[in-house]
Amino acid sequence: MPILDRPLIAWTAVLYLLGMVGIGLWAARRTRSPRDFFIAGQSLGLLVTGLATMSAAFSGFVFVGGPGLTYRMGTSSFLICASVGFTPALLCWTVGRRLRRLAAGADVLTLSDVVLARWGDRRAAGLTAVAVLLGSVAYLGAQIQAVGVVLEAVFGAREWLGALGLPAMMLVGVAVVAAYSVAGGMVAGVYTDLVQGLLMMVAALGVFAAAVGAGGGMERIVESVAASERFGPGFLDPTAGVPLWTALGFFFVFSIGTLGQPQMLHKFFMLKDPRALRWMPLVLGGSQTVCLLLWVGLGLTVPALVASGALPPLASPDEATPAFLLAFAPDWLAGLAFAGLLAAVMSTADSFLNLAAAALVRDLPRALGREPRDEVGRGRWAVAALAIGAAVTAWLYGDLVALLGTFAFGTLAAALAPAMGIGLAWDRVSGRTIALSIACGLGIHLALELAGRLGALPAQLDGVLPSALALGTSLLVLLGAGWLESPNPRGA
Amino acid sequence: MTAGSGRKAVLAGLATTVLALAGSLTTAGRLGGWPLAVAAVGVLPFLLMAWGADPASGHRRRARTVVLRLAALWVTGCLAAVFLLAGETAPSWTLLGLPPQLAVLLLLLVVGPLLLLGLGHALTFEDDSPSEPVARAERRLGGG
Repeated sequence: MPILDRPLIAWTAVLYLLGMVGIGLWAARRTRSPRDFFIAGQSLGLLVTGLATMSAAFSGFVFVGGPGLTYRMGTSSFLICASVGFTPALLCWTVGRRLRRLAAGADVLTLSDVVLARWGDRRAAGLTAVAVLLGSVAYLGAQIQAVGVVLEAVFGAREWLGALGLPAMMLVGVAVVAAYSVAGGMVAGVYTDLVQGLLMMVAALGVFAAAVGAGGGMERIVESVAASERFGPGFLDPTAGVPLWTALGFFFVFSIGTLGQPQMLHKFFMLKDPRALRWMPLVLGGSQTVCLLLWVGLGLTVPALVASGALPPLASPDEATPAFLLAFAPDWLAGLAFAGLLAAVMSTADSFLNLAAAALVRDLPRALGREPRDEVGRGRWAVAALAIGAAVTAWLYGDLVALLGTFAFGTLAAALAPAMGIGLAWDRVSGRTIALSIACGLGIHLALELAGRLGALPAQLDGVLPSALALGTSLLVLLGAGWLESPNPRGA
Repeated sequence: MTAGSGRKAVLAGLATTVLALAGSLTTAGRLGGWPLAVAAVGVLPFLLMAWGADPASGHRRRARTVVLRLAALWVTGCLAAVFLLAGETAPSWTLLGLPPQLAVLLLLLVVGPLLLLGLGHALTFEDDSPSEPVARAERRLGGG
């Protein structure tokens, strides 16, 4: 049992968890207004914003689900991260400055506020809030599941709790994230994100080096995988593991869809000085690229180790990362890496808790024409309730971390990317068009996912990603409806 | 971003598509005419970037145009290369120990645009006035 045999790993994780709660308590004293609670008082510099954006974007989906997805479907999964070289510039170039400028107004704290300010349409603002709420709860579910997988491995919970090990560790993770998010709101969120982002980069570099070393070098890793019956040469071909439409869908959704991710867009509101956007693509893209080394390293090495018999076949693909760390990394690196994994998961979870809480206590009431009251107090209660709700969702959904993550990413991409990426910059787009586009993206994605779960998808849609189809439709709806409308000089 | 630079981004995408199609005719890959779809999807984010970029002025706008054209060409070409190199006829050479299609995907697709666009953004950045729709919303809010 790791906690007894290798106490350094377990104590590193415990210290990390206590450290995060400590930052939350410190931040609680700096959280006085809704502006503090939801956008950290709009007081952040380049490094904090850049690393907080990276750590909010990269989550259990990348650190736990990514290597698991590669183990399951081969290097086709790398197409998900292929767009990371240009999405930071896409974000800063097309929406970053616009969102930051709108947030300089008195009453813009969320994406729903942006929609209200830009178009004055309560239906569109309400639909934005619903999309954020749905996507956030699903994303939270993925994070909670991931934190459960990591803590279960660190504390060997399966050995002493059996099947209850995973849900028990999920609860521990939820309790820590909820504690610092309830206390410190987004101030706690971004400062924990800064620490977590640095930890993630160090861990990713260390794990990549250890993984390539354990596999005997990249060439030998590739040879082992190609020669094995279980994986074979097709594993190494990015276009062989999935149908072409799926591969293209990954690229489409994870490039254009980035423009609809509130956990990243929300960070632009928090910049103290918009001139910090100048270096943001390099800070964000560089840190993301470093973190992806963990996915690529473990995604190739773990199958090679399984192929050569050095590691037994995994019971679940999500175990790829913890299984490698426990079997091959030295204790100090395993401890650091597990802290990095927890950091990746929790930094995203706290962002989504905050976003979902804002949707509940601020955006939905405003969309219904009511002025929100006691936003900080109600926001804290909402964070606690959402954490519990998301844990239950994750337990009931019971899917791979990466699949739950792609569902959440797809929901937000299909609903919000056209509105933010094109709507904010195009005079012809009205509030009605925005509402129609969001409703189409959201409705089609949910319907296709549900049909897929029930096995009711038509054969013609085999291999088509539901999120790609939904995003394509909402994009076309916005372009088509906008084309038919006349330019709106009031911008409303 | 001007209409002219948007057209240049489209031309860059089309040129890459033609190259990819020519490549597919001479390579016995398993994709046949698919590079057209690959190139179209690959260039889409760059078209959006070219169209949606905040306005800037003078030589900086031209610099952005160059960066965007290069990036569109780079990514579309790399993505098409990944698909063209796939299949049983993929060459046997390796790069850093990786098969060619994987090396292209990981190195060129990620590192190249990151440098082009990250540095390009920094070198051409100007804290200029917001686009007109956003400026109107700002005036209504009394902020900005």
